[in-house]
Amino acid sequence: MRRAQFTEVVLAHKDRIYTQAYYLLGNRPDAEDVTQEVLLRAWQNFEQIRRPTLGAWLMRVTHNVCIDTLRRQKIRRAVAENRKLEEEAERLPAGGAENDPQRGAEQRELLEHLQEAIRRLPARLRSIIVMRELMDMRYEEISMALDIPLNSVKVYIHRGRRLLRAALGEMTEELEG
Amino acid sequence: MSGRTRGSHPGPLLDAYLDGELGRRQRRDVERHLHTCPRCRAELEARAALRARMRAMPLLSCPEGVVARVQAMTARQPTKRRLAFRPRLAWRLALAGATVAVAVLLLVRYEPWQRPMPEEAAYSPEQVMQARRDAERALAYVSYALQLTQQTLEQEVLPAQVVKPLRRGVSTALGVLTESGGQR
Repeated sequence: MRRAQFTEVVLAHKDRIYTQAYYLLGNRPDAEDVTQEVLLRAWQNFEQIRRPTLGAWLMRVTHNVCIDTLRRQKIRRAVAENRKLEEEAERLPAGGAENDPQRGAEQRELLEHLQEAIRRLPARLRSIIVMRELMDMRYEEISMALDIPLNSVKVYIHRGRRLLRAALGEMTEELEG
Repeated sequence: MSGRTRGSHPGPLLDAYLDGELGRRQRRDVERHLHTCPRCRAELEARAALRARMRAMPLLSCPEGVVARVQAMTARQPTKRRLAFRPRLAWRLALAGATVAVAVLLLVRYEPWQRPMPEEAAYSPEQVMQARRDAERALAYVSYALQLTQQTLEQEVLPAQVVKPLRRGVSTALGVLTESGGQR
């Protein structure tokens, strides 16, 4: 019974966990490891998590495991990371651009830029922006997931978008210059 | 809040407005401000465009291998058990509590150790023996009930704090009763 419920939860949330981990960490192997770790923790605590807050709980644990992973990465990561991101961007679906190679290339470039801009954000802002923009989470859900006041969420989103725009601007300048 | 949007630029409220996260009053104030401030209108448009670009980013699919690995690992691992209400334990505790309470009440009510030695025998030997048997049975019952509960309570707290003093009290009481019976 418990196992069946858990499988249902896994199926419902695995992609969200994986997506959040991917955009926070920037590569698939780490995102897979994080997803696995989060799902295992969910299983271990399955009886203690209240169902209405399960989504927020999973996002919080994902954020925390990602932060741990980032700390570990900091030690060993260097040049290879940028190359990986480029490869990942090429493997991402280009949404309806299959019939138009030029449009596909533009979209991939745009995606690369966005990913790079996200990666330039501080980890907490990155997490909040991903939760808001990609997961479409409400401010209250983000506040619950990260255990921070609602007003802080507003401020972080404001700051995150400002920094994203600045990063995108910088990248455009870099390309043009 | 209205002072903030009327007097100055809305700042973070502009994003909350864009995300539909403002209450009716705040929303109205921001709209009023936007009406008169081209700079904030441009800012809002730029943020909306950024949001649209972000939202076009794909949600990724978790590889099936991850799910399979998790399912294999969870098959070997139990979940942490919740501290649930257990009726049997509750009944045992209630029974033990009630028994102790009755025993204490009886002792307090009759205070056998306080009684003056009767000059004449108040009880027959049979009565004394019967009282002794009853007391021993009650004591055994209390001990048994406590034994059942002590596994789940903090080990040795109850026996040390309740059973021993109680046993001592009952023994004293029995001693008094026996002595008084023997003197008859």
